[in-house]
Amino acid sequence: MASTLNRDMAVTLNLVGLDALIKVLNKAGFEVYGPTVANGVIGHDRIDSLDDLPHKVTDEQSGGHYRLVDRDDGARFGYAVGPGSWKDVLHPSRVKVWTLTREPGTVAVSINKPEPVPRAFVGVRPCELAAIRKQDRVLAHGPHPDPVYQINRHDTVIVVVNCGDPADTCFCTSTGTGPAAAGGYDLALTELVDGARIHYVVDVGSERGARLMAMMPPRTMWPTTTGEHGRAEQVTAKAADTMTARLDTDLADRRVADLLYDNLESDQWDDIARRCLTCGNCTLACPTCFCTNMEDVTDLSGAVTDRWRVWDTCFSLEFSHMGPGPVRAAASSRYRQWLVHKLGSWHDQFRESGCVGCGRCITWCPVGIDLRDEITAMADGSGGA
Amino acid sequence: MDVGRALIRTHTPPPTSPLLIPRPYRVVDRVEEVTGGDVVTLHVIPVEGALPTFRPAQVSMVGAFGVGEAAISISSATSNRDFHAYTIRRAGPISGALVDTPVDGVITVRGPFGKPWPIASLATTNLIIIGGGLGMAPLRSVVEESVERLEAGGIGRLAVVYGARNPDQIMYRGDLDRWRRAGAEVALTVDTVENADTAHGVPGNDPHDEWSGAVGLVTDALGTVDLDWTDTTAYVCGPDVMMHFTAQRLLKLGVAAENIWLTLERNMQCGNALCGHCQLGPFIVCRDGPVANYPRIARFQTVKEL
Repeated sequence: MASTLNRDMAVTLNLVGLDALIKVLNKAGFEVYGPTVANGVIGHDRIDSLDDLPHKVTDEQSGGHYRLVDRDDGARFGYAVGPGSWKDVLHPSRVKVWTLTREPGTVAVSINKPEPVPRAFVGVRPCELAAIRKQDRVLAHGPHPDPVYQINRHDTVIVVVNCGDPADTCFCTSTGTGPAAAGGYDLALTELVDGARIHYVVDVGSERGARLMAMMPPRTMWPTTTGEHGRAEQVTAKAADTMTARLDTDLADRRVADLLYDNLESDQWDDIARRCLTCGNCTLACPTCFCTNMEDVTDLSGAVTDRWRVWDTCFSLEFSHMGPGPVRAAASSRYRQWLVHKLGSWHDQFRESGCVGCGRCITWCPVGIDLRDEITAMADGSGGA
Repeated sequence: MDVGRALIRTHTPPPTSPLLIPRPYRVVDRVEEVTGGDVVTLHVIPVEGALPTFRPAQVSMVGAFGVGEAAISISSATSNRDFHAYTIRRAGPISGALVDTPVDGVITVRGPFGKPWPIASLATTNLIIIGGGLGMAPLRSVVEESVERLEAGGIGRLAVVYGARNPDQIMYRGDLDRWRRAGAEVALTVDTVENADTAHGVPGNDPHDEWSGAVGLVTDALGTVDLDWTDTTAYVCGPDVMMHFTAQRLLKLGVAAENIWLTLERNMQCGNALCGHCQLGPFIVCRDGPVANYPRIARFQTVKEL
């Protein structure tokens, strides 16, 4: 299901071309981010050249398990998503919102806004692009948009890399968000691996993407051949087959919301709660989880107070705190809130599912709770038995 | 590489929504609503500029300097252009700091947020407004507007039913009698006369009289109200369990489910549907509530810890 958008503009890059693309973006004034290896995982950080990308490495993921392992070929994108996501940059975990200062008879208000910084994201996976677009809808397209997110998001160049090596935890075919991106990017690359020989079939998705390619140095790319098109489609088709063999139901369907609503008082939540540690890892790793808490920090004089906005998790007791105490005191209620929101009430609130099938919540759950298994059990009535 | 600069779009950040910016307000009056001073109504005006307009049931994020903000509904009449009223009960550090704010003290306000009582499109002749405990605070504004409509002939019959824990906990004593004089049927009930620090009289009468009004739940008090229930709309605000049993009773009396409106309450942090805190099933309370139509909320209302 590779995109056919602007196929007439498709070109193929070699590794020198990929290096040139990163350098062109840097020279054009963008802060360029891409995948990097750090702290035992593939995350993302600032990159200056091809040398910064992961090489000879892939990942091994399953419920509660993530390891980097060696890889023999020359692939630079031969792995699935790590624990971090682009929300770390666009919707930072800690942001100063305002400063209030006491003055005689009043309070002076200063709203804090970040400097607009043009950024380019290289190596955005299709599920991650879907996650960015879901956060766009929540944080930028509502009646009162979040100014911090709007500024951070404004000028992002998005270079997608379609997926050829999904992890066992991946299920984007069940959410309709991959393994090939269907639009909404500036460029989309598909990596063709032939031993140490690496090529990238580039699909141009925007006017800006086309201008970017026009700035590439000569002899780094050529018009994509029919054979290369075919191989690129095979890469993502094979990835899709791997995932549909594991799960072939549509987890992003509105009917999942009805299934969850019909089971709000199921014993299955208690069964999950016997395993769930309510640590909130899933909410930190999830690329669409957007909840934040407000913290007011006052200086020693008592005259100046800063409002900070920090990521929050619906797994904490404080999250639902009201006068008499937490609304969701039981662990079962807190897990239920997370899953019902992600796969269910998100449809009512934002007219789509909140899940992109990236599998981070499965990998990074310390006890390996797998939402695919839980929904399957709920659907066939075996959950909580 | 100047040609590369052409890739970057010049960007003027859009203006921040005023609802995300706190505005300083001065407390111009402070009314202790119950014995002991733990429930206080603050009358506030903006330090600079005009009072914003609002609709009954709308909520503001009211802030105590350095402590934080709490979601509080505006309890004054929409026609009151002199000040806004916020009735606040001491429950934690934020509400405590607000309750303790003296006259001339400064608080901050963002808002108003949320969907109002749909009184502008009343589908029935009669209206009954039912409050339990502090739930009377979000209703006071709509009672005031309903009384104005009653006097103008826009409502057939208006009833107000108010249940408090005990006689000491009855708020808005002066208003209750005024509403009655304007033609509303006002039914008061208390859960118990025990645990009252003093035995107050019927509000508006001598406060030293023994309690001579009804004792019982709000649902019992509904039985004393004489209305054509099939042509009645009900607005209900109070604890979840009170709203649930009140809705059941209203249905039995003959009120159509779609004419019953309840309120939703959850921890609110931003007021702009951005922070995720105030979810209740499909509802984001600050955006989709606090007012909700009974048929939409019924299946979620009785789910424990939702």
